Amino acid sequence: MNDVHLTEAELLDVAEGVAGEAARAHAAACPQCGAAVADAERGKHVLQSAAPLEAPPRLADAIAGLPQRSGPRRRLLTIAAPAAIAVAGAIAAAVVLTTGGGTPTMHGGETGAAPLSAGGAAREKAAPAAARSVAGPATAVAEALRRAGFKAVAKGPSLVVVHGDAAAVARALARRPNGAVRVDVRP
Amino acid sequence: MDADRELLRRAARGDRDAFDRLVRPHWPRLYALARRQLRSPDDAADALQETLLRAWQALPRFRGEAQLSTWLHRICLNAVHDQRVRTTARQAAPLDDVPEAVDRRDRFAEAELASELTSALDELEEDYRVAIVLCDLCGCSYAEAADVLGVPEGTIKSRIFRGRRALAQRLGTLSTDEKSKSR
Repeated sequence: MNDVHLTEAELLDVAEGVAGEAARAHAAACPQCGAAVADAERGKHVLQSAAPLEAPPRLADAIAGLPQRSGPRRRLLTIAAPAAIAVAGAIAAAVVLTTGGGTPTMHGGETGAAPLSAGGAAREKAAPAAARSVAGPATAVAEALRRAGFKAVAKGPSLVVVHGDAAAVARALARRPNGAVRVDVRP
Repeated sequence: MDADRELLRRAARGDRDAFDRLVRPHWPRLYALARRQLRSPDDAADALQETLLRAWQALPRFRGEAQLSTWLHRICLNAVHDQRVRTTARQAAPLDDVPEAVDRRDRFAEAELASELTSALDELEEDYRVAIVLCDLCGCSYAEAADVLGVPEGTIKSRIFRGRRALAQRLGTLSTDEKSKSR
């Protein structure tokens, strides 16, 4: 038996049955390498027992919910337009929709850079009705809204409420301070 | 291949249907890649959505130096990493931000949490976990995983070997020889 032990890559090859004759012979004769191979085989066996995973149905329409993009030449537009719309919307809605008594203000939403929605096609049918920004993180806000009965999906630093009522969402978020998590509400 | 190139060209110009046809075959692997590293199905779904969004936005800059699948896996790994950071932050958030009640979805999540394999994977060093998930749970070849992670194939094999041994150890299936040695 060769005194030099097998490398980890060689041991893995032995465990997978693709090693050369010399490596297999060494592993068979060397207790240390043989045990290492056996452990790697056990680890693989455990992994093979893992149940297959299926993507949840809510992802089915994810691509339909992607923001508009018309190609490389319009890349700048995809950044600038939503920002401009957001600013315009915020100004307009600040005039129209306000709530008193320290309750955070709901303001008009943007249409260009909306986050992916659970029912992505909804974006095609209806622009976000309202949006505001609250303290995060987004996933925690989404969970809080789901507990309150809303269909809320966190999307990166923002979240979207599908089939929601803007006023009801505003009430649900009333106690939450303003912050960086953008909340879009889709009717 | 030509058909894929045409789909890429169309998708880069904003054709969602072409993008859908390009990436949908990769979803099962990408979702598995996310789900095996994130404890919550919702977090995994969010990571996959983020992957799709980033790929969609970056597609005009995709020059085809890497395989599309390799490129998508890289984006997915970054999205998963970001999601893990967010999850960690969420867990450290004030009590107000933590769900108070356990709903049906959470019970499913808890069942998943109870999985020894999930826990054992979670405890692995990130390098080992990612290699294991890519190759043993998502079906990538060692060469593909090496491309995705930008390391030599030998490094992937080494990480797989160490990861599998660590899993066997954590799950209490270590060989008798090794157990007696560690005493």
